[in-house]
Amino acid sequence: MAIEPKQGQLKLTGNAGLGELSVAPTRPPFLLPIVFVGGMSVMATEMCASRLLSPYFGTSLLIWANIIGFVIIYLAVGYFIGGRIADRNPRASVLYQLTSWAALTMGLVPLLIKPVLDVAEDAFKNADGVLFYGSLIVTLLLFSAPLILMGCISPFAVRLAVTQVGKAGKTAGTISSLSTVGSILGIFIPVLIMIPTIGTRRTMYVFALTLLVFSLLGLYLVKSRRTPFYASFVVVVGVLMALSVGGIIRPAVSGELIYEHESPDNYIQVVKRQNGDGTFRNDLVLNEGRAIHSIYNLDPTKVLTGGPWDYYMVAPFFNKQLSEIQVKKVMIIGLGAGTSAKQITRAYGEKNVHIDGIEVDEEIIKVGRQYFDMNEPNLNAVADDGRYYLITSKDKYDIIGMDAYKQPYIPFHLTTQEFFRQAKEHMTPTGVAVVNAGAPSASNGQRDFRLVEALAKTMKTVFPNVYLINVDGYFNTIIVGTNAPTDINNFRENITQYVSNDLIKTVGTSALQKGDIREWKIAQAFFTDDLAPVEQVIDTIILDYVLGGNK
Amino acid sequence: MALESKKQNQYKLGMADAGVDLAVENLEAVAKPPLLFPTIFVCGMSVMVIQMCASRLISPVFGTSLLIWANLIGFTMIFMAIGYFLGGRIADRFPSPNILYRLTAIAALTMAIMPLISSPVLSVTGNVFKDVMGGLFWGSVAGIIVLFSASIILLGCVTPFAVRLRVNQIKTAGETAGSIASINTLGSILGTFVPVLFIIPTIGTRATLYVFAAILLLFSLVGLYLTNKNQKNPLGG
Repeated sequence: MAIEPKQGQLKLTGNAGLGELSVAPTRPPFLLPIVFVGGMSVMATEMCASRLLSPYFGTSLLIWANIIGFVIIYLAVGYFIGGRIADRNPRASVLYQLTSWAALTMGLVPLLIKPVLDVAEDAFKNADGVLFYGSLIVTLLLFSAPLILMGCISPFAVRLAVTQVGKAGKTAGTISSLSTVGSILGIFIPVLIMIPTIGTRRTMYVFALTLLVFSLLGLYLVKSRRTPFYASFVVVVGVLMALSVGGIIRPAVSGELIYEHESPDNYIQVVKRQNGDGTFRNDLVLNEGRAIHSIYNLDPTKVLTGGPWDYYMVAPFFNKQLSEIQVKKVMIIGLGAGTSAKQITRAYGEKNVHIDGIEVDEEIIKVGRQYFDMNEPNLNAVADDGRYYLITSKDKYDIIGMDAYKQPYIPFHLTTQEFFRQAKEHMTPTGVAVVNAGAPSASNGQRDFRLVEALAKTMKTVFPNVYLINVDGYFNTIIVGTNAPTDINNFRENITQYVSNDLIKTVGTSALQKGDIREWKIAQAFFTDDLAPVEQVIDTIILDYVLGGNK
Repeated sequence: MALESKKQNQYKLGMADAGVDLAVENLEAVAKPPLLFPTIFVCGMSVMVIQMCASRLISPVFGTSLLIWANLIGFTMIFMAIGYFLGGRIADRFPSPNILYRLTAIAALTMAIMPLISSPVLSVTGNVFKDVMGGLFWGSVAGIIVLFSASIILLGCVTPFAVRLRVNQIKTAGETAGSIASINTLGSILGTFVPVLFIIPTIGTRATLYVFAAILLLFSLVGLYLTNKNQKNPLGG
């Protein structure tokens, strides 16, 4: 980095208008704006980092922990060396040069990151764990230069702004405060406005250019001779930004990518793929794409998917001699692009059943309407948090279905004893709660039911009867809790004797023949609002699988 | 905040002297308030512990959507900004470690109260706003302000306060501010990962808050004790 040599300490204080030789300077010009923009740039960089990574690495706790951890370490390094550079060269021109370099290196990240992410993509396809984590680390190392340089700003500014020891507290406080207010904007402007509108890469360029413009203004105001040199950085970043227009973020893992979008919450893909029978379907793929969240068969006669979505419609039939017309009101938490809502509508009839579908990401609802024909007149799709919607609702439901995944996790507040109690309060006498839980294959060839069992134990503390159904062909198990005391034999009786709808009959028969339907009898409040180690349970399952697989 | 004794004023004078490099012995004594860096570290840790536990406390009522996270992070930062602003000004007026450790002790107490009042407070704010347009937003904001503002504002006071206590000459102000921010930030790393990965999943959210409140209180009390002990031995011999 080019620290400007001998760029007159005296010239700097010349701004005070006295041309004095005093070593105790007045506050240099433009210091507070650069502190503010610096704080903003740090958080904008962090937010963009998480969005650049999420299509490849996902948004699991592990990835977030890595991002936050690296960012904080870079800042700590920046604080440390920034203060020392400032004491040695207490000149504003040095600070503005540092911030210019920070802006340039920030502007280079979207270009440099592409080849590394391509390696990550291959590593993911080939299930190469070492290469995968290695590329994550390299990716994060790309952010070191801009973030360390940005970390230099605050202590540097304190050094320049402290003109008497007696006011050091106020000065340090004002600078930290201003930097923090900048950080708040740096979180919200990218996440809520810019990334969903212009995409992550261009958001980074815009913030890099902003920091660069402020740095140049600072250099100009302290009359630095090297201002023209740093002005050339604007050209570099500007050209990169112009070249970045267009182009897809990430190709589909298989099949044809027909839509992609970055919502504030998720990286969304719609991928067209072929079914085994030659028909086509649209899949909703989120973030790194380990799971398919919704399926829409383009052949309108093909309603069932064979997946966990199918099973929500059969859950009420553990009640004795339940008739199909009794199912009138359904809530789905984790609507996605509406696969199960469509199936339930077909099974129970759009005149008979009303569905409240709750989806936390409103962009996914839009995608559902456009690419998954989620336009049933009986479906009320709401962008909201599932539990908040449930507890503020006055209605009672025949089916409350839970399918809210933020891969690979389930939001913890939708797994707890308190949550299932609130669900029970909103169920009709024959109402059922249905949870879709992953039970992946373990390294020894057996299925790993630890998450399923933790959920079933918790549900058993609330519901009189709890049943498990394995989804044939998928690594999922459906857990059903019934409001009334019920019997496992009712299900066979209903499906074989009383049910007339073909869809319900087909899924019910598949459940009876291949689902290993069983009742769960152990009650234990495994997940509570206070102690819900969902992430830990899921991490253990994943870790055991990965370690076992390498043996 | 209670007014300070004469001793405190002597302290203050000592600091002022240090500024013009007159009383060298005073400078030495004043420049190193006891236990300052460990406390800065613990405070950085506590802020992140509160934020991580706060998300676990509020999500049963308001969920874990982006809106809620945004509110939580946004308000944590606003509280920090207020704390930085006030902390620097308080420090200039009362540049004594005594005051700093009292602030952190109160912060520890407000942290320990959180688990006790969170359920009633959140169910009230959830209910009051539930029929209002944007009830999720207003309800969560009200809950966050009532539960978390006091402790985070108090913890925000710490870094500029520490800068004021440690800066004894302008030419090393950069190094001092940099080191303090750095140590505070390292505490934040620990405060992010240790609770999320180990403590909350093992002992639960409430117990986690009690444990870290106790740690902060312990450091505050030891800091107060050492400060008062130093004051009893008159500065500068």
